[in-house]
Amino acid sequence: SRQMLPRVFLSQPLQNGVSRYTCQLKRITLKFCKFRPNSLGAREFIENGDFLEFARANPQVACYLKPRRNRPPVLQAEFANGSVQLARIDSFPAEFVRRWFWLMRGRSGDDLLPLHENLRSFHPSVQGVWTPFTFGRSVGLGDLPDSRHRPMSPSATELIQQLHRLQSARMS
Amino acid sequence: MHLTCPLWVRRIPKIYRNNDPFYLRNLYLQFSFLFRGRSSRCFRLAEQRVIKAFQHMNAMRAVRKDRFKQLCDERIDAACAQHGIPGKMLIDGLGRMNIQLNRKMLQQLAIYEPYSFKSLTDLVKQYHSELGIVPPNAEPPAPVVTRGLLQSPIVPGNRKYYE
Repeated sequence: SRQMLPRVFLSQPLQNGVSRYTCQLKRITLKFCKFRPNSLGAREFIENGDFLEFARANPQVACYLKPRRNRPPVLQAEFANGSVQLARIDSFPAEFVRRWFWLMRGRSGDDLLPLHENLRSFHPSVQGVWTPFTFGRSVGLGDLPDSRHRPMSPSATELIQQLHRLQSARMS
Repeated sequence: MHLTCPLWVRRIPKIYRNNDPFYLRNLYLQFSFLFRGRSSRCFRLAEQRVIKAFQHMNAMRAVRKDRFKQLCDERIDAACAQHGIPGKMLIDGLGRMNIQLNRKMLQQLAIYEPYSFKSLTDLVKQYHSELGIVPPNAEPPAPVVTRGLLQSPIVPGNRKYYE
């Protein structure tokens, strides 16, 4: 519900990307088990060389491997704003693990909250936002009171008049 | 169970956590902390309100889409009315010309890019006038040079309109 998770507007920490883009991911840790079958994807990811490929392609990220006995595999990503995000990669194929790595690389570390809109711009209009005067004064012309502006419910006077009419119809 | 501060530090294994009533009730109270009155504090009231809140969230998903569509339609209709055509005519006309703009984008254009929107309405008027349909109360559009491309646009996905 929107009480628990209020909607936010799309934003980047310190307007990252406006003039210069800095990768917000600082450290990524892959915890896996060397034996259990749910870590198979993580092990294949390492053995196929995808982990090294990621580490070489991203020198700004500190990549760690933590073999932990009898624990499910987990991806832990730490960001510049101090937040830590965990991705459970239990029984994932190696390709999915690879995709999670590259996804974390693109994240800013901000909490994943529902958005008002998927886009945000401080200058959404190039031609100028529509006003009633954009195409000449063709809308909003008229004199008040306007016969089209009738209230939905009858006024007190009208109610009493209606009652009077009903009563006189009943009496006669 | 409500634990005192020193006992909070103790790590309670998950198997006991799942069966402990405190933790079961805390699941609901986590969702109800912004509710009004005792529904945010007392489990027996919160449980009912939280279940109802979940039902509302579920039901609103389809309704939200419908309402947004209605809003877009209303805005497009209002913007088109200024140029003398009904909103449905614009959406239908653009579809027939294989101009793939959905309602969301059309209402954004109508608000933020009014001159582009006007040019779209001009295109639709031109398309209909080439077919011989004149929208009522419409000003004649600015001359649009089409070379017959509106009626037979050269796009692969528009084959059904050729016949």
